[in-house]
Amino acid sequence: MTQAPATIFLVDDDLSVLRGLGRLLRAAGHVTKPFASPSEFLSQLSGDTPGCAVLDLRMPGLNGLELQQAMESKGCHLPVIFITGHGDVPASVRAMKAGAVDFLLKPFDEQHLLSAIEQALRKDAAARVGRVESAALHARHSALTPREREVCALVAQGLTNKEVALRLGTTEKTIKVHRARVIQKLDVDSVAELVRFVDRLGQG
Amino acid sequence: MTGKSVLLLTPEDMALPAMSMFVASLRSVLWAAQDGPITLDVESLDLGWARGPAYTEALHTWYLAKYRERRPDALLAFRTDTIQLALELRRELWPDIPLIVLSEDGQLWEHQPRPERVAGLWLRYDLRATLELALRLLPDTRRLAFVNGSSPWEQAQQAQLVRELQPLLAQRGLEFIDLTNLPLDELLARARTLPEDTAVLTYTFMTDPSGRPFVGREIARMFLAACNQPSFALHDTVMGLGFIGGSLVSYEAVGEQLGLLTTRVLGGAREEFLEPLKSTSDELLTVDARALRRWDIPRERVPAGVRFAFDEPTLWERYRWWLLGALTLSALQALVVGGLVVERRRRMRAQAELVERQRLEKLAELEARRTLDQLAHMGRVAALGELAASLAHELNQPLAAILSNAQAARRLLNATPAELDEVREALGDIISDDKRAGEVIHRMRALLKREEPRRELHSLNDLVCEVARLLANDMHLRGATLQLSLAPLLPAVQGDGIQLQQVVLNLLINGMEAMAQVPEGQRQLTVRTSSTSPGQVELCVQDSGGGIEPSRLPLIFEPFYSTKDHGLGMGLSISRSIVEAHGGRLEAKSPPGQGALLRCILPSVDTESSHDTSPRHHLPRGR
Repeated sequence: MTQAPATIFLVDDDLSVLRGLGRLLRAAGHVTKPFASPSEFLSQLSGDTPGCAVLDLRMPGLNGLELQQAMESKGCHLPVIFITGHGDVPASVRAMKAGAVDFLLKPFDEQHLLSAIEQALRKDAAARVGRVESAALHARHSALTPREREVCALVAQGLTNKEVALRLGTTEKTIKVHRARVIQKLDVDSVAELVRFVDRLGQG
Repeated sequence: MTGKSVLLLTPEDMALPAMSMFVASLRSVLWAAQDGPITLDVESLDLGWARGPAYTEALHTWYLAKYRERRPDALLAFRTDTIQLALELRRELWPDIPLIVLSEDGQLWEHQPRPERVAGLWLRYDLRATLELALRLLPDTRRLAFVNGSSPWEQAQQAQLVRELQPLLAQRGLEFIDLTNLPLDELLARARTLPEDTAVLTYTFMTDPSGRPFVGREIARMFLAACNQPSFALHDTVMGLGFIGGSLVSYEAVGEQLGLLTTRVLGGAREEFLEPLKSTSDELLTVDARALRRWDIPRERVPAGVRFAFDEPTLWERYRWWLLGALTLSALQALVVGGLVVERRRRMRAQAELVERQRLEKLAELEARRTLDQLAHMGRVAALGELAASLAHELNQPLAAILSNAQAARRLLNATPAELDEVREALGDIISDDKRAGEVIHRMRALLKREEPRRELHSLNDLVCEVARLLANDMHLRGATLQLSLAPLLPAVQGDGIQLQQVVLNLLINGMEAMAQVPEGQRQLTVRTSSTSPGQVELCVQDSGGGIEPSRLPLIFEPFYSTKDHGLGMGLSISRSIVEAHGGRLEAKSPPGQGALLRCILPSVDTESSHDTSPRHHLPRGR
C-alpha cells in the first residue's frame, strides 16, 4: 500500500468554481490538486496517487466524459465524480455507465459533495487493496516453471494426479512432485485453496 | 447540518415555465415552513417526450446508484409515469419514508392497491368548466374541436379527458372534432380550416405521432397563429398568447399546496397518509381581455366572478374623444390588424389615401409602430427562451462557486484557530461571483424589458459585443467559434438600443443554428462591422453552414417561414421590420460554398462624439 495521502484532483475550466471547490474541500480536511484544463491534468497524471477526481462535464477541448475515457486509457483508475452546470439526463446516464461514482448539479450542497467524495475514496482504497493483492498473486505465480504452471492449471480444473499425468504424457509420480512444488511456491495449504488462488488470479 | 432534505422527481424539463413556477413556489413554502435550510433536490426525468422502456430502465439504475447513500426525509413525485418510478425507488432504497404525489390521473390507484405512507393531491384540469365558459361567451357554438398530443402520457389522459367532456357535448348537441394525436403539419392545416361555430379547446401538444418533441408555449403560439376559430386553454402558463381563457390550473398555487402538505407530512402528520387524493381548488376561470376584443366578444357575456387578464384600455377607449365622428369602427379595426401585415398594407395604400386623412395616417403609423414594438418584444422573449438552457448554465457557475465558498467559510470559521485570511479570500470571491451572476441577469433583463422605444446614439460595435457576451456560453455548448472583426472608427447609429441588439441576437442565433449540420470544429461564425460608404454603417454575419438555396432567399424574411423544425419563422421578419423602421435594410446572400451571409445596413450619424469611442471591445470569455 502506498503511504501518500488521498488527493482530490479537481478539473474545471471555470476558475472561480475551481477555487471555491478547492477551498471547501481543504476546509473539510482534504488534500486537493486543482487543474484548469483537462490537458494539464492528463499531462501530470501519475497512476499511483490514491484519491479521486472531480471533473466538470463541460469544458473546451475535452469534455468530462472524454476525459474519463482518456484517464482509463492511460491506466488511471481514479474514481470520478462529475459536476455540471446544467441538468442533462442522457449525459448522466452515460457517465454512470462509464463507472462514475456520482453526478452533481451545480450549485451543489457540501453534504452531497462530501458524501460522494467519501464514497469515491472508499472505492479507490478497496480497488487499490485489490490491485496490490493481485500483483502479489501474479508475482508468486510467475515463480512457477512452465511445466509447473501447466500442472497448476490442470489441478485447478479438478483433474486427479493420474489424469494430469495422462494429459501431459508423464508419470503420476512426477506429477506428485510438481504438485508439491506448486503448492509450496504458491504458499497454499490445500487443493481447495489452490483453486481459489487460480480463480483470483484470473480475475486480477 | 440538521436541515431536512426532500427529493422531488418531475417528469419535465425544468426550463418549462410550468415546471419552474411550480418548483419555485414549492421551494419557498418549504423554506418558510421549515424556518431554515431545507435541501430540495429536483430531478427532472424528461419523460414527457416519448421515451422507451430502455430509457426508464437506465434512469432507474442511475437513481438507485445516485441515491444509495443519500436518504431524503420525503420523496415527492409529479405525474403518473414518474410516480411509478418513485414507488420502485422507494421500495428498494428507503421503504420507510413518506411519498407525496401530485397526479393528473384521478384513477391512479384504481388498478393497484394504494401503497402505505402515501399522501397526495389530484391536479385536475376542469374541462367542463372551460367548455361551459366557452359556450357562455360564444352562444352560437355548434362544434367543439379538442387538441391533444401523442406522447404516452397525453394519450393516457385522453380517455379521461373525453369522458369529462362527454355529458356536456351530449346535453348541448355539440359536434366533436377530434384534433388529437395528429402530425403537427396536419394539426395546423386542420386548424386553418375549421368550420364556423367551432370553439377550440387545447390540452397540450408535447409530441406528434412521429415522436418529434415540442415545447408548450412555442407550439401554442404556432397553433394560435394558424387557428381560424377562438381557442380556450387549461394552463395559466400559456395565457397571454391569444387564448380566450379557461379554467386555469395555477402552477404557483399547486406548488404552494404541495409545499403545505409536505410540511405537514415532514412534521409527522401520519393521518395524512390515509386521506384519499384531494382535488385542488385553484382552478380559476380567467379570460384574456385582449383576446375577447380580438374575437369581438362583448364583455357583458363574461359571467360574474371570472377574472380578467391583460385588461388594458383599448385604443377606442383611449382615443374616443379624439376619434369620435372622424372614425368608423371598421376603420379602427383596419388599424389594429397584426403588425407586419398592417405595416406593409399601409405603405401600399398610403399613396391612395386622401390628404385630409393624413392625420389619421399619423395615428396608424403610431399604432403600427406599437404593434411592431410588441412583436419585437415577443421575438426577444422567444430568442431568450432558446437560450434558456445556456443561461441557466451560465448562472449556475457563479452560484456553485458562491455556495462552495460560503460553506468553506463557515467551516474555516469553526476551525481552531479560525483561518481568517482564507475566510477573507472566500468572501472576496463570493462578492466577485455575485457580481458576475448579476451581470448575466442584468444583460438578460435589459433585453426582456419592455419600454417605449428610444432614439439614442449607439456604437454598433458595443451592441455586437454585448450580444456576443450573452451568447458566449451557447456558442461554446454548440461547439461554434465566434470571430469578431470590428472596424475601429465606426460612426454611431441612432435608434433603440434594445431593438438593434435584438437584430444582432437574431442574426447570430440564426447563424449558429445554420451550422448545426456541419462537423464540430468547422462551425465558424464571423461578424464584421464596417463603414464602406459615407453615411452608412454595415454589419455582416457570415456562417460556415450549408448556405441557403437561391430559390429560398426571397422567402426567408417572410413571416412564419422557417427552415428549422422548431422555428417560428419570426426572427428574420421581425429583424427586417426593425431595421427598416430605423431607416436601413437587411439583405441575405448565399455565396456558393461559403454558408449564408446576412448584411444589415444602417444610416449612420456623424457626430464628433462617435469618433472617440475607442475600440475597447473585449472578446467574450471562454464560457
